[in-house]
Amino acid sequence: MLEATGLRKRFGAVTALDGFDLAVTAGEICGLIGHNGAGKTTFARIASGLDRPDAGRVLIGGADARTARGRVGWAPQETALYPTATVRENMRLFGGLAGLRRRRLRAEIDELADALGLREVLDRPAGRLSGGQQRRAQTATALLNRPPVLLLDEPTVGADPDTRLDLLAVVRARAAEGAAVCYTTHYLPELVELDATLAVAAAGRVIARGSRAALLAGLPGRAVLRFDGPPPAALTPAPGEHSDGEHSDGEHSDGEHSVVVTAERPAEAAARVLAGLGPDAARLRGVDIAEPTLDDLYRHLATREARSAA
Amino acid sequence: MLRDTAVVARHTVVLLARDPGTLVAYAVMSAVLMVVVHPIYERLAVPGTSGVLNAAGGTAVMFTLLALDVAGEQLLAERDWHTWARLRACAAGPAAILAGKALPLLALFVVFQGLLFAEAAWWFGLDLAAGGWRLPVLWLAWSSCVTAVGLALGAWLRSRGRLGAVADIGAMIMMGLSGALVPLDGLPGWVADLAPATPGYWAVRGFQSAVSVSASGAYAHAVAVLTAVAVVAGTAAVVRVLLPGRSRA
Repeated sequence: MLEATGLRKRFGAVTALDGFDLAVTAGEICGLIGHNGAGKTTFARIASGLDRPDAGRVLIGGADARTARGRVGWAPQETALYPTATVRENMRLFGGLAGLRRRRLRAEIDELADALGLREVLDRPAGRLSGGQQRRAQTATALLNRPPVLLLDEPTVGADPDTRLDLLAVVRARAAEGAAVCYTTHYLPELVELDATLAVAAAGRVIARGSRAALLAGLPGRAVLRFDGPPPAALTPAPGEHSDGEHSDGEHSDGEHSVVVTAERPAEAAARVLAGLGPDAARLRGVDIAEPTLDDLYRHLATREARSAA
Repeated sequence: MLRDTAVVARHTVVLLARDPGTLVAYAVMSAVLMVVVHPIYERLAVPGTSGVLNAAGGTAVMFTLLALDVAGEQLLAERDWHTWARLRACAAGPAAILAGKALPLLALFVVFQGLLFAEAAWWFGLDLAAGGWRLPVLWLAWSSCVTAVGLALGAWLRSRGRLGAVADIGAMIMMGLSGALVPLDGLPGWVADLAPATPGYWAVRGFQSAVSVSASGAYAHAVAVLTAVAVVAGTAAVVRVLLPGRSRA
């Protein structure tokens, strides 16, 4: 449904996109993550038909993005609402420009107002809303005509937990209806809640793309072993974890020490470490196992990219 | 395109209605000023011209020019609100968006001039019937001109400060040179030489010729010049909107 191929874009001396490829199928939620300046917003502007790439192209359902504007719902990163107009008037404008008329427009406004908790502020000027309410209103204006492609650029920034849950539920519902969703965020746990596939952008291109499970496979996790008193002298890394694992320790205020074992399979690594402790194992207070997270993935890829660039 | 234009026009009406201060101030000030300056215009009127008509036309031109920045603001505010990129990302084309911005302003400026002339007719006996259809057509031509120039300024200038400076200074110069502030006969000769270079001159001249059947050529000339300026300025606004980078604030 959304297919970007070989996008390149420069602004003066700055290369914003440098061979950016991304395809999102109907019904898929793709979490697009990356540092500021990775090219996410430039990609969104090109995909929404606003800017032309220097090279490459974006197809929306097979049509060039610049001719398929009405088929893309775009909620940019910054708040973009008319502050003196009410939420309803903002929604009327964008819904009207998306081709909705009278009864259907009213029905869509009502439905989204209910789904996103905007009912009570519909007739309040957008400029007088809280930041979270403005984010919801903005997202609502992008969803009005049920476009087949959604580009949501950090829609939950500044949103409280309830708002965030509402937004994520609506995004999931739209994807279930068949929309291809490109969802940009720095709150990586949201992508787990959305069951999103991932695209990691760096230096103007997508450096990793796939399901979470596939991308997380092979990344090291952490086992935190907490001991009463100093860490056991006998504590040495077990065979097999040296290749990609490491130990570190730290002291806590209550005299407890923790040893962090980083390994591909942290639970197994922790078991091996404990098996070799002997009597010191009695001082073990607890073990916390942390599987690799999206944050780990992101840091891992960013580090790898920086190394290869160097 | 018509539907998109109607949607944007309706929204523009909402935005103007929410912040009417400047326009209301101009309407009140112009109505009061015309009463005050009317005797001066009567005294300075040369034979064959109407002092009341000069007062009404001059005041209308003056305050419509001052509202240039209201028109430009319609586009520049979009930049501050980050809504311009969103508007452009909609299926509506730039011409439809600009037309939707222009129509309410056009209507507002026509009504504004109509009210001033109605005031002149009510208080000072201006014979509106003598102008017939010509006065409303000239109001429309002059309103189109000011609206288009204002939108072009809003499209090309990059900040409200610049818009305010250009619109205010430009309006003052045009008011002075066009004879809207003081009739040209009371100004130095070089001003009269420069006057035709300003659209305001053609508006003032158009108002004078609108009520005189014998001056139909001058009237048509004035309407043609104002329409041409409106077309050029409108095209300049559309071109700027189409240029890449317009929405990258």
